[in-house]
Amino acid sequence: MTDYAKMLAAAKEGIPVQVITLIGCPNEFAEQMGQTLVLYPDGTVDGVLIDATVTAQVIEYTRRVSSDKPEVFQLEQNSACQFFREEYSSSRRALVFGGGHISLPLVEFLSRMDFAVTVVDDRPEFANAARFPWAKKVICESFTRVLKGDLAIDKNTAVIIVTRGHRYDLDCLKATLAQDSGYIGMIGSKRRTVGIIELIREEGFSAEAIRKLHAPIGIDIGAATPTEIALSIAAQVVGVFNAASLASLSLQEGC
Amino acid sequence: MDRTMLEAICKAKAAGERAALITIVKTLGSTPRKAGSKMLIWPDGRSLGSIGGGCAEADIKRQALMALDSNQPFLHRIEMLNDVAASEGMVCGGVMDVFISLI
Repeated sequence: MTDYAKMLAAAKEGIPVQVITLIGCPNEFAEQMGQTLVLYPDGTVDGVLIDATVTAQVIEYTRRVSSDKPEVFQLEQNSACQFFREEYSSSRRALVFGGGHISLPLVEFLSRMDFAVTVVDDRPEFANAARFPWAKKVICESFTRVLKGDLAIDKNTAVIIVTRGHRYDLDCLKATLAQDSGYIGMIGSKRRTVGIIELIREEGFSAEAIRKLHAPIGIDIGAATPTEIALSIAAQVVGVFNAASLASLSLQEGC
Repeated sequence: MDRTMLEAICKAKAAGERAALITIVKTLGSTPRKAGSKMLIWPDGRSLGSIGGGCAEADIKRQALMALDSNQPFLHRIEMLNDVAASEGMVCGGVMDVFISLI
């Protein structure tokens, strides 16, 4: 029986886990159907597939043949059995600075797409768990103090800067831009964005770091209301995480 | 597998519930969801997640209940190529292999 609790614990830690399931075999092994083998990156292995020999062969196969997509495979030594291999990679996180009108739908959109979302704001009436039932965590604290702490930003983290004021936006940007995030975006008008980019360039941020910044944030859907803006941001975040083109899928030109 | 699904599985197991976990393992042609997509189905018909919706899902719910009844996981092929599928508006035109396991 698969230890789902252990897999969940790994997922929460952002540890990628490979799972191999026995999905096809001769009738004599019907009882073994559905057995799983869980492989952790530190070399730990949980579970058995049929017997110790087959298990060892499967482990050897997964170490020899890599795959970035879920796949069905068979062993050379034993073509009667079919296995399914998938990876549960580290979970996506979003760090949202600002708990205002845009954040409200944005946090829900991102959570529904399996981002574990943290919201930061210094105003208790905006930064509270009752306002953000979808958030994983709500931090009510001055931005300065939060930015001094360990934000644990990594490739699987989206940083979204939508505070109520330019000054806070800039503080958040300066503290997070150089970190290795999967996405970083900041709200603002075109004119102000030009000014801010100039400013951070003068402050010594690398051209590479600046190129990563999505500002003004979002994709062009003509968003006007907070919910529309949240949709435009969420679409961009998902598109960037999926390394997609963000273009229309329509086959007709001009659509 | 996404985390919501893992959390739901853990919760169901902690509550002593039985459920079938459906995983798309292979697709051919055009299908709404790809390999790795999952759906959890409880004996009372409740479900979480989606492997594509429509008739394919209605079929898979029946298969899941069979697996729960017989306590036997199995591989099942869903073909969206035939006339029935077309008349039901399953327009994707592909084939999916799904594995039905029991949590």
